[in-house]
Amino acid sequence: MQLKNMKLQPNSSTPTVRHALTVATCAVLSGSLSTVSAVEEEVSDLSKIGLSTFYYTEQDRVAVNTTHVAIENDLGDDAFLRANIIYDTISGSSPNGRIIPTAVGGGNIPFTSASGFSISINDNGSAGKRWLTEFTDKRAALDLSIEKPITRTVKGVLEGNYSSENDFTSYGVAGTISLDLNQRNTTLTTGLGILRESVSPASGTPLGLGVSNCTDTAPVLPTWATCNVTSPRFGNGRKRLFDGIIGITQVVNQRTITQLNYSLGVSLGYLTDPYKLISVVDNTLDGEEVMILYENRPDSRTKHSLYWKTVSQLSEKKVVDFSYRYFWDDWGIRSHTFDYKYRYDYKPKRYLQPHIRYNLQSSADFFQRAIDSSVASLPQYASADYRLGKLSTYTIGLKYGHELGKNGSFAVRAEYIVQSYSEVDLPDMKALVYQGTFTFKFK
Amino acid sequence: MKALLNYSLLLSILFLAGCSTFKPGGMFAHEEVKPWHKAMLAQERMQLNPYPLENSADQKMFYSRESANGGQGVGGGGCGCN
Repeated sequence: MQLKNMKLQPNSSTPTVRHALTVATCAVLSGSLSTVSAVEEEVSDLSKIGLSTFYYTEQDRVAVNTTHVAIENDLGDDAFLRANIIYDTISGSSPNGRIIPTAVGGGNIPFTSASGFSISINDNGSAGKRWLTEFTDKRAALDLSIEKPITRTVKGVLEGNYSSENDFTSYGVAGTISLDLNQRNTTLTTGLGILRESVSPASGTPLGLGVSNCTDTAPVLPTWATCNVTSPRFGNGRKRLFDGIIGITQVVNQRTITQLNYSLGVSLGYLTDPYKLISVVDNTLDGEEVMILYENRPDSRTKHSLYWKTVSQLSEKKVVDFSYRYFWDDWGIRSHTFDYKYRYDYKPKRYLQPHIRYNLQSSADFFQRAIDSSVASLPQYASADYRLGKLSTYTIGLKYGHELGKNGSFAVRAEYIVQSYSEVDLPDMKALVYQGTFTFKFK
Repeated sequence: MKALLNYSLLLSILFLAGCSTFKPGGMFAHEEVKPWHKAMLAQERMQLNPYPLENSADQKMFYSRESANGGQGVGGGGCGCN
């Protein structure tokens, strides 16, 4: 589907027309011959390097700093080897699922969670806010992929990835095959991926819905409660994830390309978050928290998504890029995501790109803000993780891009994100994102 | 702020709708595209993932704050994001 970049020779003819003719010549030849003769000097054997620094900060919550290095090496014959190296540092505090007490300011419930030497957690909450857990972590990730034509119209991509955090490991492989049809105007794609992940809290993984702690001031405990026994711990929590995708990409006309994908994901194993909690509240005491349990999620999840994306050039200076995704899973979550970017090249080699994104999500069937202490028995599954609740996320941003000569480019962008919740007590999450990127193609 | 964002979203949808009124079919007007017609589509800004460094950061950021993910492809590592 993608054409090779061609190097233009110095010429007095109009560059745009000449470039179009050059690309067209190459396209015709590449479509009809197994090897492209040297009508023009090819520069498709460029190797590329990309650098990114990314900073994400939530108001009163988490901050993430990410450095990303991407390298592309041309192996010849349209084959490429790509490597992505990512390093994150994460710090701050994250909602742990406990309710926010009426008298905001934190409670006096002593609390011990799955913390240890490898991940630093202040379990008494951030600045007295016991519904937040402070933590710091680091993450390093490596992703290697090779892209290679199999026949003139079939291309394969094989990828391997590994990432490691203080208490989390993930590794997997994925393969994608694409077939060009209809004079390369239609591309069919299918892919499979397998991922294994392991979470390893330093003091062990807690049993789902096991007791984390009880308040020593609560006069009445639930009849099913056993406060003198805290949750047993077991080893690492392991899960396997299988992803599949089928998609079609279609050139609609000379200025528009569109894509439709369906993807299926199956996750099996320990899908609970060992750091998330759920409060047990006594409604006869104005909803006071009397116990804290570890959350518990089902051990399988099947996810589906339909993703539609279109890129269109409205004029020489304007390109729109929009996508819509509908997501649903067997936990009962439904989600709509709209994303819209509008690139405006206000000068040659310089552009501005506003961005708007909107996500609306319904809650999982087992999501609940807290467990009522009067229930006869515990539910099988329960989570108060706000990410499984009903929420909406708004993003607005602006990017400035600048091309440096023929081979370099840099861009900076800022985004503002607001996430609102309707089923938990949390205040809106407000985040700022800054990113700078630089790419350079070597000849 | 939410009102502004909703308004912006609505405007962009209306803008997209407007695009389709320039000519029958708008940006989706089907045309036969020969290989020599693809100069515009070959530009980097016209690729489906023209800014992979930004897309990678966005994918991880929203993966760690929302339940929905996927749709763009397979592969990529996970994270124990909190």
